[in-house]
Amino acid sequence: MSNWPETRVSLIRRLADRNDADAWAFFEDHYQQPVYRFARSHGLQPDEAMDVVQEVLMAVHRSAANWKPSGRVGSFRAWLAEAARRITLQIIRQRSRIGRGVGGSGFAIELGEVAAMSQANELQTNIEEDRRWSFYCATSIVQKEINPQHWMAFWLTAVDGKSAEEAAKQLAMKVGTVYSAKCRVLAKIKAAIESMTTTSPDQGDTQ
Amino acid sequence: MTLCDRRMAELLMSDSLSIEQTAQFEDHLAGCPTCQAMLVEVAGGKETLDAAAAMLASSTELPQWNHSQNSHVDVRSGELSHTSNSVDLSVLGPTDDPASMGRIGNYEIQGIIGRGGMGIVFRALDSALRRNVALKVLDPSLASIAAARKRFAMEARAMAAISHEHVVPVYTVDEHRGLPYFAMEYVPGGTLESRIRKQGPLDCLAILRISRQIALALSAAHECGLVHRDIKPANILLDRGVERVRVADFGLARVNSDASHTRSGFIAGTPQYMAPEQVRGETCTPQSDLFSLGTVMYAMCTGHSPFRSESMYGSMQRIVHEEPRSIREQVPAIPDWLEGFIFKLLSKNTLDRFPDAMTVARLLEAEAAHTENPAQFSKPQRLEYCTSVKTQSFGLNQWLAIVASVAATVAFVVWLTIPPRPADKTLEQSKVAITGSMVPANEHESNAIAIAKEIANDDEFVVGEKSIRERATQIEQSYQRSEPLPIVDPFTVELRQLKQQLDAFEKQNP
Repeated sequence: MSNWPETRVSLIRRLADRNDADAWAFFEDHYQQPVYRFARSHGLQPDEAMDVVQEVLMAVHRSAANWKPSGRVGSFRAWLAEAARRITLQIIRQRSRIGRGVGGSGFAIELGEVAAMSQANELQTNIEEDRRWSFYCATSIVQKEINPQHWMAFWLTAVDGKSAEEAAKQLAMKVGTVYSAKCRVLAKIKAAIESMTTTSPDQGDTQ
Repeated sequence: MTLCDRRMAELLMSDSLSIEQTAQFEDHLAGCPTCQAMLVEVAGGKETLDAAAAMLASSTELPQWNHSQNSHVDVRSGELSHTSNSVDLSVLGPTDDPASMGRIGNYEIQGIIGRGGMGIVFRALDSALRRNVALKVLDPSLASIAAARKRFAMEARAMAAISHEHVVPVYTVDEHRGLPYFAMEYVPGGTLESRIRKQGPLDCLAILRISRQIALALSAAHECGLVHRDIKPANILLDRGVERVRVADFGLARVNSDASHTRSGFIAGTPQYMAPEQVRGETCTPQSDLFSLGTVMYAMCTGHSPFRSESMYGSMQRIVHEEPRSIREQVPAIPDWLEGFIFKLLSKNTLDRFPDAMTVARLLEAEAAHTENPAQFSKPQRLEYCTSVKTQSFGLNQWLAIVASVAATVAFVVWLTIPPRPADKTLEQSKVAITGSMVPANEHESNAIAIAKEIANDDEFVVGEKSIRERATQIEQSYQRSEPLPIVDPFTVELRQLKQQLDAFEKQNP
């Protein structure tokens, strides 16, 4: 899984062109899931998490044209994580102190703000959260790109905890194929995560 | 080659085995725990597998919103489909009525109508008054969150505050075992969304009648200082045909000036009925509701939203940047003035839309009356929204507009010919002042200064009368856009220069 899409510089460059429908469709297709999972993992309700997804998408939409190459590896993904984190936190905070002013027109997140806020103490990235985010991104991409049967075999056995025999029956696959399918998915997830952390800067995305 | 071999696992993972070899190894795998474990190690390790599984298990999947197959997917019904199975009915009290699912206060619960962002909507019977009601109960999972309770109460209050025949009335606001709920009128007719989906485009008169009633409801809400923010066909309830329309779901409604109770943006999903300013994350105003009304009218004409797209982003992009496709190209039966009316509502710039919902309602009323009974009701003026009317015939307003613009031109020319005041700087001085260092206060100012500088620096100044006039217009426009400059007003100076040049040009070319 060397072709982790984000490391193809072109995706981010293409997102800067708001009219590039394919790039945007790809982005939407691959990145809504991680953002949603991220928000849910912070205890947000489904509709709140969907709010986060939409707000992040809108933030990307607003900021995409202003992206400049930063040369940093994974800076776009980091930006995205930061946006998701911030909007998620804003919702959590709103829950606890609604009634006190919390910004007028919603969550108009701009690039500069995200950069600034990542320095704030309360928003400090913790390693566990980063790891979680990488996993969400990786699994989302793999899920999109792999044979759906393989994904199901992985899901049923690894996540749902079913036996290979049960999964095989449900998916009309051979038991041995369930094992190999599960491991193919695992290998791709692992490769995706590795490619996120070891991409050389010149191949890194731009922001 | 023996099958219990790490190399076999590596070859399998790198897709280097032939089909037969793969099948053979997979058969072996089914009964060999050693190879199963080995394969996991080769693929990424048990630790990674467990971590991935744990994270995926702890976060539910993004609910499927299927844009491509069904553009009508409504978030609320979408939610219904994935969460209705898990509606927590334990909140319901016991009942003696066999047809009832349980009781909340005085209400016998008879079924679930839907599930919204914050609550569950039940169909219920008011046992005292023997009438059906729609009972919206705060989602029990949110009940412990103070903010959710407040937000829920706000929705009830917002709706209750608007007593209007086209807004779903709220009967009671109360609590049941600590769970807030409110009872609303039960409207059995279904939504505009389902009607469009089932029957396709509506006819002109129905469109006018429904739209007028929505506009009236909006006007009432706006008068209370509320912006609905989520006008879409799924929130328009139809009571037995089109005779009576009710606007529902003020869950996102926000007091116009109240920034403190911001909801978390919008309900995610297809934002096809949002206004551009809403998509951009700017403040919603009553004009945003008018835009959404325009999208609903468009949908009634064509059977689909003007900004439908394969993706959420696509819709957003279209709302902000694209003009919708012509309605009459798709449905020739729609009159051009109606298309013009809808497109005026769909103006990207809020100022280009109608001034308020009441104006919209009145115009629609006049159009509906004329459409239904042309003999009795004269044709409305349509000057504001029917382009063909403007080009075909001239009414009083057009003549007035022409007179006004001629008068303005004359006034401008007269102003140009006024001689400079004695205190004014000479041309040379002005030039220095203009080209000297000036710090623009804003973008417009800097543009204006740039133009002034360009002209002042241009030694080969005169190109012809046309270009002078163009520049004069340019400068004048810049002038209108900008604040007066603190030190020197280069525009007045420039206009005088231009006037002198123009005079000279006219002398040379009588």
